[in-house]
Formats: sequence, C-alpha cells, structure tokens
Amino acid sequence: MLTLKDNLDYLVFLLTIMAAACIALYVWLKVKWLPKAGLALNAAAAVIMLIALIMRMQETGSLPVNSVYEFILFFSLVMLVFTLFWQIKVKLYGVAAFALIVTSILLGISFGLSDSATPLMPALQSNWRVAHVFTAIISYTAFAVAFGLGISYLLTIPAKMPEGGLPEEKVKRGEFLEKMMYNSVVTGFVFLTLLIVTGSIWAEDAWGAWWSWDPKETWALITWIIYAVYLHLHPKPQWRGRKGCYLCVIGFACVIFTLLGVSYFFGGLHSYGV
Amino acid sequence: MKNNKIYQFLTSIRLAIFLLVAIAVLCILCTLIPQNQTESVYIQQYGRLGAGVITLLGFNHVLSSFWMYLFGIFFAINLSLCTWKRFRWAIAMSKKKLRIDAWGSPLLHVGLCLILVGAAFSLSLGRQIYYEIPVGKSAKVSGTSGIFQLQVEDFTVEYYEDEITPRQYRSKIMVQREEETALPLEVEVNSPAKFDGVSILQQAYGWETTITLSTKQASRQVQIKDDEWITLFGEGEDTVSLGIAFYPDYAEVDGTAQLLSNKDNNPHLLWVVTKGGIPVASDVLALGESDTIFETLGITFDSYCYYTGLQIKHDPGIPIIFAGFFLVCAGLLMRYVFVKKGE
Repeated sequence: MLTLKDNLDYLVFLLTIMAAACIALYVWLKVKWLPKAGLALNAAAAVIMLIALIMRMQETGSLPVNSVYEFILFFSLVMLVFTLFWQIKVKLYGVAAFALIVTSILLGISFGLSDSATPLMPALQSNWRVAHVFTAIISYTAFAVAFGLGISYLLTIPAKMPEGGLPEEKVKRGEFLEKMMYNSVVTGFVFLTLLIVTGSIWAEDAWGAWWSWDPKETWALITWIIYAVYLHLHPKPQWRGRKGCYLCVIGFACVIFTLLGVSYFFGGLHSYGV
Repeated sequence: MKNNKIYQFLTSIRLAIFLLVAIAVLCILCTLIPQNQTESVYIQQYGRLGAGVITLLGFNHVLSSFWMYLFGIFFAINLSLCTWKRFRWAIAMSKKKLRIDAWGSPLLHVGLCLILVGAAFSLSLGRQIYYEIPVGKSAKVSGTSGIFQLQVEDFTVEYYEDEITPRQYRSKIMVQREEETALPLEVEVNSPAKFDGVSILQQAYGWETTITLSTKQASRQVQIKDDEWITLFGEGEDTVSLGIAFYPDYAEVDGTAQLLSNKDNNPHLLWVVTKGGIPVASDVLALGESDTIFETLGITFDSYCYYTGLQIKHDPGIPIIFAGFFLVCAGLLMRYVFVKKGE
C-alpha cells in the first residue's frame, strides 16, 4: 500500500514533468500563458517536496541525507527552487526546462531505490556529514545548470557559421550562455573541491584513510579532473563555444555516474541504502 | 630558461591537460577492471587474449602500474613548474598594487603540490596496524618514541531501539609508556585518540568467548571469537574443526537459533564440529554448560566478553596533506570569489 509520503513523491514527480512540459512548450510554441503555468507547477512541486522532506525528517529524526534516495529528494528540492529562480530572475526558460527534465529523471530513478529509513550507522555520525552532503548538493546543482546551459547552447547556436555571420542577437545569446556556463562550472568546481576535502578529512577520522581509492572517491576525482580541464581550457578562444559545452555535458554525465552509477555497479564504502 | 624548449614543454598547459586526461582514463580503468585478481579471474572475464593485454599493460594493478608512475611523475614536475611560473606572474601583477585574486591560482597550485608531497610521505613513511583486543587485555603498541602499553579497560555499544543496530561504540583505554603514569583515553567511531604521535581509531568490535576443551588426560582453555574456526586435530580431508557462533540474547524458535537482540540478556554459544568441511555435530550451550564431542572430547562454555578492533596509525603525511587542503580551498576562494568584475 502506498503511504502518504509515497504519494507526495509521485505528486512531485508528476508536477515536475508537467512544469518541464509547459516550459519546453513555451520555448517551442511561445504560447503566453505557458510560463505562468510552468512556474505555478514548479512552485507547487517545490512546496510539496519540502513538506515530504519535513515528514521524512520527522520519521527518521535526522536530516534526510542518509541514503542515495534521500540525497536525490534533497537535491531535487534544491533544483526545483533553483529553476524557480531561473524563471523569475534570469528568464532563461530553455535552461529551466532542461533542469526540470533532469530533476524528473532523477525522481523517476529514486522510485527504484530503497526508501527504507535505516538508522545512521556509527561511521555516519559526524558533523562532517552535513558539510559533505551540502557541498555535494550545491556542486551537483551548479553542474546541472552548466549542463542545461551547455545543451541550450548546442541547440540554439548553430555549429556552422552561416554566410554573413551569426545575427547579433544569436552572438549575444551565445556569449551570455557561455558566461553563465563558466560561472556555474566555477561554483560547482569550488564546491566539488570542498566536497572532496570535507570527505577526506572525515574519512581520516572515520576510516583512518583520507583517500582509499573507493569507486565513489575515484569518480569524484575523475569529475574534478574534467571540470579542471574545462577551467584550464576556457581562456583559449578555440575551446569556447561548442567544445566547452561538450565538456560540460561529459562532466555532468560523470556527476550522475558518481551519484548513481558507482553505487549501482561497483558498491564500495559509500554505498548507503541503494 | 624561458626559451628552453624542454622547460616550455614541461610548463605547458597542453602537457597538463594531457596528463590530467591520462590520469582520469587510468582512474576509469581502475574502477572498470577488477584490480589485483589472479590471472584466472581475468581469463574468465576477458578471455585469454584480453587477460594477456590487461596483465601486459599492468591494468590489473592500475594504481601501481608503470603508466600511473610515469604520468604521476610528469604531473608532479608539470605542477611544480607551473606553480613557480604562476608565483612569478602573481609577483609581477602585484608590483604596483596587491591583487588578492592574482595570488589565488599560485596558492591553489601550492596546495596541490603539498597534497602530492604529503601523499608521498604517507606512502613511504606511514604505517598502520590493526589490533583486536578483548576487554581487560592489553597490547604492546609501537609509538613514535618507542613501545607503549595499550590496555582496554572497558568497551560499550549504544544501540537503537531495536537493540540490534549499533548507534555508536567506544573503548575506554589506558595508555602507558615505560616508567610513566598511565593516561586514560576514550576512542569512538569518528573520534580517534592521539598518543605518542599515533592515532588510535575505533574500527570494529565483536564477541570473544572462552571455552574449555578437555579429554581424559588434559584440558585447555581456548579464546575463540564469534564466527571463528579452530582446528581440533587431523590433517587434510580428515581435519576436524570447531566453529562457534555467539548469541548474546538467544532464543530457540521452531528448533532454530534466533538472535533477539545484541545485548547479553541470555548468552548462548552455538558450536559446530566439521570433519573434512562437513558438519558432524553441533549443539547450543548456555553459560557454564558442557557437552561431549565424539564421546571423548568435552567442551565447556566458560565466559564471554567484547573485543575492540583498534587501528593504530602513524602518518607523517597528514599535516602536509591537510595544509594542502587549506591552501587549495583558500586559493580557490581568492581566485574566483575576489576576482574583479569584467575579468
């Protein structure tokens, strides 16, 4: 039997898909009322997700960041809040649509994960846990936004320069997307570094090893390297534009694989409640 | 030196990118290919040719392979030289007016250098030993100034409401160097203790039982841990082994042993004797009870206690690595947060 909590999760999932559909349709068809509908659905999804997380917190007695399932719920809440901001302030609807699609895919995946509220094991009883998980959420959100911006760039800015060059509007849009993408990667990279640092200090206390080459650690390092490569190549004009976007797409694929794929395929020290 | 081609190559961004990508690829291989397995595992998974290629290239032990050392050494050289280059640039930029953002990148790269140096110290000078010490017993432990005595005074486990799942566990220990007064310390998961330059970490715990094995001629006491096996007598296929499972809170439900909780409310010991790996006898004993195996060998359940699993670690690389972490974070903030608008 589905519990109230389960129903809330499904409701958020449906609202997020509908919000994504409204905003994507607006980008395509430019129907005037669609952004308002998308915004309302997005806001409703965020509020209900917040309620679901508070209920979960009451159930477990701790912050809902103890398993991959809970992490995805929390991450989705941050993404939903961020997409609201993205629509109201920045008005980049294409990026908001991509971020909402990513959120609904993650929520869909979360239904296949174990949602049992297992008590915290002794190794997880540390103040470093909160810092570690929150830096992960901020970092992953920033990389998701960079991914959305990258896809938006790839879809809207043509690969081949038309005769007579790109219209000024497209050039400006491309530069804007590029700048936002760079800022998002910088934010994500700073927090990914903090994520690795907090994790290492914690691991030294808990396991007696600041680095164990655990699959999750290794893939976090791979992700860090990809974004480090992006930041080193960014000043070079030939690596601006589409090439940078491809790196952001690859980087985000690594983020998702680190979050879900590693626990699913390899297990290891970081596999909690998968 | 600036015009030296080798110097230019070693300090180039192109080399840095190549090395970063190469190390990332090795890391991917390290997670995709099972590491440090026997040859038969690789043959079974990848076929004879695939296994041959993997072992020839050292991808069965990526982290200690030729490639990792090669790229690692070049990366360390590239990073050190680039750091020096960035420092000179930051000095040049700050000649007229101090620019905090210009110092971010050099500091960040110094931090990365320190992490590599610290890791090298850890690998070459670090050591760790794992001890399982029953409550009331002690061990001789090697500190940085000599051997010291580590006595386990007490061990406690906090459980959640189900009385099965541990919430936290801690050891009360006494450490003492020769001719010095004993120092009481407490160690729990996530809170290691430090003494004489070593960290003492709480890693595991379990139950240890004491049993008496007796024949008509003699008897001897044996300490045996939960889920542990010992050889009683015989060799090869005739080996007779004894294994035990400890139930701190035992109940018999439909003829099978059940664990009600992990608290020692009703301690029992389940013993199993195997011959050539096949079970031939088993029974359950309450505390103080005895059984007879093969009509000649007596087994008595005498006592039980917790043992604590402590890891003793000496790692001179840690302060350097943590200083590196600090510089990396500070450098990142200076590089990206204090950057002037429009740059």
